[in-house]
Amino acid sequence: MSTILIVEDHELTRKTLNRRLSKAGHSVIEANTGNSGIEMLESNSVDLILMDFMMKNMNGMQTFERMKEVKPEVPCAMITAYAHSGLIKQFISEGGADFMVKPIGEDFEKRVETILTRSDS
Amino acid sequence: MMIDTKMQSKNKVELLEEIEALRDELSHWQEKSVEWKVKEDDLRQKKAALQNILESPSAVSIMGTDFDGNIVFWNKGAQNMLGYTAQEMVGREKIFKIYAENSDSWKTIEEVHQFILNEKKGITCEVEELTKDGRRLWVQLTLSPRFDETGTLVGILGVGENITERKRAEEALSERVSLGEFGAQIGAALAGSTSLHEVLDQCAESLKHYFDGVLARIWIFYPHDEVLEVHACAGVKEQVERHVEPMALGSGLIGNLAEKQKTYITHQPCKDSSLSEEWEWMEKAGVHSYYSHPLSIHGHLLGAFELFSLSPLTEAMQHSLSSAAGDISLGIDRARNFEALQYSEGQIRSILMNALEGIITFDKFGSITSVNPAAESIFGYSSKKSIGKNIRLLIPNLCRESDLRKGHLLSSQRHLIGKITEMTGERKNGTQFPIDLSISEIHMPERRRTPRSHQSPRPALYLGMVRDITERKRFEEAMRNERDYTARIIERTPGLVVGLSPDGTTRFTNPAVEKTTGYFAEELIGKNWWDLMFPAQSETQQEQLRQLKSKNPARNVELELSTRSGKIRVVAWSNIHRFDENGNLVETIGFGTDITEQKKVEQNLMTAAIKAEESNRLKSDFLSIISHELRTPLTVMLGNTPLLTREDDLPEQGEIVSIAHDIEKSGKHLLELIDDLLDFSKIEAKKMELYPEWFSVKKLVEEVVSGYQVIARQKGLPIHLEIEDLEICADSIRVKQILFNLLSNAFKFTDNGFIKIQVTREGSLAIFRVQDTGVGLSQEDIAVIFDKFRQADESATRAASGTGLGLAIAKKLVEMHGGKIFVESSPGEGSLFTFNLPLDLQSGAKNEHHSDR
Repeated sequence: MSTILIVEDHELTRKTLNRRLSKAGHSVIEANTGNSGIEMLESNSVDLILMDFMMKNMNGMQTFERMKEVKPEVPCAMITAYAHSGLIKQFISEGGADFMVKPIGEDFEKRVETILTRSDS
Repeated sequence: MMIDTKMQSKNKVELLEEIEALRDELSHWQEKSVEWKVKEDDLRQKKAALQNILESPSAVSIMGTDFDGNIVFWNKGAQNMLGYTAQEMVGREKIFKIYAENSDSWKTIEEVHQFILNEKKGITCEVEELTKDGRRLWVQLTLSPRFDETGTLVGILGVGENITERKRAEEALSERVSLGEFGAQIGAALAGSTSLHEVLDQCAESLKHYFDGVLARIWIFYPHDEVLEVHACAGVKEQVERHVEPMALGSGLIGNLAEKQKTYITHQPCKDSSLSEEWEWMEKAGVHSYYSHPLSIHGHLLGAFELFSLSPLTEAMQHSLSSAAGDISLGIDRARNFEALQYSEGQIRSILMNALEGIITFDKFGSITSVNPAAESIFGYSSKKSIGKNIRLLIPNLCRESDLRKGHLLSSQRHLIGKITEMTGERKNGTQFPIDLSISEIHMPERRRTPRSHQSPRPALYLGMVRDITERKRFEEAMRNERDYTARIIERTPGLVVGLSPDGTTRFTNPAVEKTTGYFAEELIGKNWWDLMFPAQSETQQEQLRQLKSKNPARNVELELSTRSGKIRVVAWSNIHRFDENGNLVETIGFGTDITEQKKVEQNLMTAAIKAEESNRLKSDFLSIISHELRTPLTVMLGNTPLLTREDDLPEQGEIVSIAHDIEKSGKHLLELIDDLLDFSKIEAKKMELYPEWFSVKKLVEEVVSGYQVIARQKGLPIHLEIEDLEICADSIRVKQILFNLLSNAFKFTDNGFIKIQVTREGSLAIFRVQDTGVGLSQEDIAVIFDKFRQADESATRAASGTGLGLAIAKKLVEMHGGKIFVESSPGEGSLFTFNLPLDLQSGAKNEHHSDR
């Protein structure tokens, strides 16, 4: 069982992701802003971060940069409806674990699992 | 005595015959004396003397000789004449010296006898006899042969007459005649020749000839070297050919007398120490007198002449020589002048002949007197064809016909004299061509003054210098055309052109300058161009001006020019400098292009480009955002459905309901989003149509508000309505949409306080106000709040499930109705959205919408 931090400002999306991950047997903690996400990362043992990109005040990329300073060992996957190739490249080159485009598909749990397995080894 | 008497009587006859002969002689002399009137008196005297002889035989000296020449007879007359008595003379040999004409030598007695025999009439000769007391007498001797009874020649009878007085008179006369002749000769020499050389030669020759000269020399003074040199010589060959050294002024006899301009004469030249160098030859030649005289004119020394004469020089001769000196001086002067004239005339002639200018001389009647070769070729007439013709043949418009007839050529055309005038010439072939003509008057030197000089003096000749300027005119014409062309271009070019002196003073401007600067040319000329036009000396502008004024000026420098009214025009400026050969700036021509409009267009384009870029970016952002917005509800819908599709692993009942609600909510949001997008794209594509109808505003607002009662209760926000009961004609569905969007917005941003809707009528407008007490808007927000998609990425939008298109759509719809919408707000103070609609949309407001776009 892994602990997954979801940073997502859209409530229904957050709920949806939580349902899916919980169903797959993961422990989920939610943050609706980048700042609260960083706080949660600091105060919790997290195995994976799922990061939205379009958020007010601090977007997903900026939050990711900050989180790397806090816990660089925690893998972070971006999951966003904003699929911009520049962003994908930037995120991966900065050390992002995966980049998933909304809406999430049937393979969502599988991809999460892959990241977790990779980071374990 | 008998014999004597016989002799006497016989001799008397003979004497009478002799006398007769003398008479003939006399008549001969008389004939001769016709020319010399002075001689007449002497001849009369002689006639009287002869009468005397006839009356008193003793006055006649008679002498006879025998065959051997011994005197056998010597009468009293002979004794009286010569002083010797008969006793003293008889028995002595007496040789009658006979000077035969055409012979230089004296005859022997045999020859004399023979001569006398041949000349039966006897001969007469004039001989010089010496008296007993040593006087020299001139005796005229008539010799005749003496025969005895048998007719044998026994001797000579001589009848002598003392003619010394006559002879002297004759000599005096002959001297005078000779001197006169000399003067005439000198005059002729001077008049006859203009060559100095010839004149002097003739003068020397005359001096020698008329003054019994052995040698006559003429010296010429060379003032430059201050020496005298023998220039002409006449006389005995060896002396003439002798080389005489030049004599410095003041040295030697000639040098001295020349310096002092004094005459020198001596009758004992062979004892004169100043002539010692000449002694030897003079003695040999028997020079009797020496005379020298300076030659000068107006005290100006020209030379001197010397005369070595075999005879004594009488005062008359000296006087004659002295006056001859004057003549010779004049002659030298004239010959020199003439030679100088001849030289310069030769030069002038050569100049005329070779001049490239046509030179024509003509008199006051216009009659051509000469043309030079250049004039011949210019006009095509040979000099033969043109001389004597009228000048108007060549230059038709030179003068008035009337002036010409009066012989007052150019009297009305004085301005032509002494300067170059352009006129028209006419060639032989009739073609006319432009000429440069300059006319000068030639005043001929007058020999005599005519008393009728009250008439204004007219020049004897005019001299016209003609130059064919066809080529030059053609060139000038071409230049003028070129200039005109250039000037026209400068005049008409829209570019600014100014001419500036090196210090920047404006010299000329073209009309474009006036147009751009607003100054008149007169206001600019004389002022400093740079100071007047570019007074704002910013750092950059100073640098730009420096670049323009430098030796290699920068081109198209953009400057801000201040017009007369103080406006700024942007000009692209270039300078062209002109330097003299020393590299000094002579003038600057400045060219400017007014690029103000261009700049504006450029600016507009730039703005448009930025806007377009922005718009593109926005569009791209919009698409991303739309994509994002569409995917967000889809994520909820598609993300949850897998939880419901696994029949063997379904969530519990409550969870299923929750999931169904989430999916419904997202579906609704998605629908809303799609509606807004469709509406918006319809409006953008002008596909949206309004369906106006009359309705009650109050009713409509209440309908809208009823839809918000739930959320109002949930958020605890009361909705206040202040609605004037109005009927308006508009598209009610769209008005509802506007209100709905505004209210939706108000509820989104307001958590406390209230929402208030107010509708009033102002004139022909219905004014709608939607007020909230929410977060309010910053000035930046206000500026963009009605722009599409502006709020799309705001999380707050998400919270209120907005599309980011609500306000943009509301604005478009208001405008489609011919109304306006605006917002008043500040952060924390809530917002007031106001829009107005015309009461009756159909009264033309619909059209306004279209034009307003």
